[in-house]
Amino acid sequence: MTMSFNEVEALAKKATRGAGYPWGLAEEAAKAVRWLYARDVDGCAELAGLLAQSDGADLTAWRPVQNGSRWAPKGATLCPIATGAALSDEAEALRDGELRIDQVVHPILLAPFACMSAKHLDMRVTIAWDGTFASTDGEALSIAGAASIPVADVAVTTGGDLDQPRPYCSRAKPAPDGLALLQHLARRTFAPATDESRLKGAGAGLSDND
Amino acid sequence: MRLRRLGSLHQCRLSFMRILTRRMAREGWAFSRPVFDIDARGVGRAVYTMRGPERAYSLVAFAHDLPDDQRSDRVIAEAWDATFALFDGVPEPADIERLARNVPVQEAGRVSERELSLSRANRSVRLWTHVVGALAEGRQPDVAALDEVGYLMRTTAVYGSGKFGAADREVIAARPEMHEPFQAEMLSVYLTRVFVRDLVEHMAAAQGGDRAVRLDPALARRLGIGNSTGLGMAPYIINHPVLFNNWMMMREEAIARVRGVAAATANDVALFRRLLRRAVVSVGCWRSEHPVQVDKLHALRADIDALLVLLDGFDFDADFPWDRMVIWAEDALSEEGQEFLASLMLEPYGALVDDLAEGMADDDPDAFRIDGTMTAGKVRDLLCISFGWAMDVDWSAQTNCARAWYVSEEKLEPRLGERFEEPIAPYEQPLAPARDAAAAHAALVEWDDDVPIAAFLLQHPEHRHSVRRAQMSHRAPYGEIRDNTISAHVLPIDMLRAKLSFFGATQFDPRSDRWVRICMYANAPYPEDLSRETADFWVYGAGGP
Repeated sequence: MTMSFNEVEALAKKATRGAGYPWGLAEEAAKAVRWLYARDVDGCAELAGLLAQSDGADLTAWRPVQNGSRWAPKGATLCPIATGAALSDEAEALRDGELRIDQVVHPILLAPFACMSAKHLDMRVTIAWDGTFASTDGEALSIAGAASIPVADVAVTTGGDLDQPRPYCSRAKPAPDGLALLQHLARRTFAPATDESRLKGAGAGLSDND
Repeated sequence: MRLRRLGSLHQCRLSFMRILTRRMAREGWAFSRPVFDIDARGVGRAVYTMRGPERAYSLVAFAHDLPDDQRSDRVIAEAWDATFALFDGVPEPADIERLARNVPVQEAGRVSERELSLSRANRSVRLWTHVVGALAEGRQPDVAALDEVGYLMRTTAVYGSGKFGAADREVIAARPEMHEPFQAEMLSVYLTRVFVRDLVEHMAAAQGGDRAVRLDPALARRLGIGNSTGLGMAPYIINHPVLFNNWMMMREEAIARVRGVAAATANDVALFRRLLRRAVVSVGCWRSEHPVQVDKLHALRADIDALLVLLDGFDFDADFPWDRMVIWAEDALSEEGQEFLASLMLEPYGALVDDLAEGMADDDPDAFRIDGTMTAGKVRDLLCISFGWAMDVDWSAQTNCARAWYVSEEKLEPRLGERFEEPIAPYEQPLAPARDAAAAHAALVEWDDDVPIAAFLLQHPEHRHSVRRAQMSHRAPYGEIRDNTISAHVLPIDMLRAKLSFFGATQFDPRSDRWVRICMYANAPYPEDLSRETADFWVYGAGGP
């Protein structure tokens, strides 16, 4: 079964919120997942890999502590959504040279944010780890090496090659496990229905036989 | 951008239904009905196709035999009188079979990238029975009965943009005929109206045999498609600030252009007067029992009387007549009347304003990115431009945050609850931009003006959505509702009305503070009558242009 991008985006937003993230970062995670699917990467699986670890954690420990061009976690590992958001917010810093970011969980989730930086800078941006290079010019994504990895130290630079571009897709094909976890987390954002809310909340409750 | 004002908006030349009918007429779209396979009980399927210059679109309709006790216009219903999908192209038999397994169960099924919308409709039982009965006996239905209800079926949801597996907006957004907002959904409803007319005649023929007659085209034309809209639509305009900005900004730009017309020609004035006379009749047919709308209708009718008196002696030869009329209206008319006039005075000026329709789509995905280099001081300023009034509100006072928007577990339906009476606060959706802007503003107090906002956001990701909205408002000044969307006094129907007016809906009839019935395409030409002459002013009811 394929899903529309709107469906995976909406699911990712709810799941991220359900895992305890603030709404703004949930929006970023959702756009990131959508962007990855448009470039044939299973964004739900990557996000599920992250949320399985960060669910319920103290997210302040998952945010980067910035020390010049070196970003490191306060705790053990970095959240790629919070880190990616900072990477996009601070795209200008890439003009000064390489950025080293330690212990990023599911680092391919940084790629959509690198894309926003690339577009802003009007330059290519590459994120690299363990022999993998993911490069973007603000639109296309090229990945040389393995896209999916649980955790890695990452280098972010301007420039890079687009010689292994991912194909553009218009549908998402999420693997069942990641999808199931996101659906589970998303359900936490739904209020249990009560008889009162059924009647009052939606305002109607009338027959349509007129 | 106050809710009261948004809740008084009227359709205009830039409404999405009218953009569609004008385009179909201008481009000479061809209509056909390749399938109509419905039995004497009214059960079966039909396909209605409109073919434009480059592509065709088909409504695939399924007619059902629904027991009365299952007829509910709540979005959580599970069965309907008729169900529909708008197919991208002309469906093959295999497509129709696939849709037959999925469309009749709506949310419980799946559609595909070949479908652009999914929808359903229920009969107005009273009018349906009357019309079928009359036609079956060889006579026309009672005009008063038709006007009393206004439609034979009302849709209870029209889903587009990727819902339930349908094609995403991006798939069609670059097509000229689909670039303006909601064109697929509007086409779906346009064809639904044709199907409903055909079905009522078919049922009358099945019941009456040789005695049965067809519905007089003049009567058929009066009928629109009803719609019941609940809370699901209200969050939409908050969740799409750039898109909603573009709707408002283009209408405001159209008004500004017409106010800038130095001299009105005799033809322009004559058209305005003719349409006003027709509007007197259509506003006269507008019924509601909701006390808020009853008062507003009373005011609107008085406003139209006042406008007619003004026009008696109005000097259209002096400079800037429309601008003078708007200035007069600011003191003389209610908000309903002001917005009615603003929409009506655009009518003679299609050549001046219709190009603005192209600016109503949201083609700016980059608006999502936060500019982290913007200073904290600048963000504070932006927050104050949209929400300055909200900074002094006591957001802990019950009356100011009495409500909370949430999504229910069953059917995933957006709801509005009582924060202090129901256990819903942990599930609250981010649909109170004013409160959240005030919170972000308060958190920023401790930060120096010249600090980049990126540093603040790294420490305070909980304000990220508010900072994003503030930056969006920089390029989308009409993106924010300047009102409290969680107050004890909020009327969600104001948000529904704002959105539906841009669709081109009429006859707003609130049934409570949070759902509304409307009419779509009443008096519009059916495909066989669609022409440049009929495509535009149909919304004002019968009578020549």
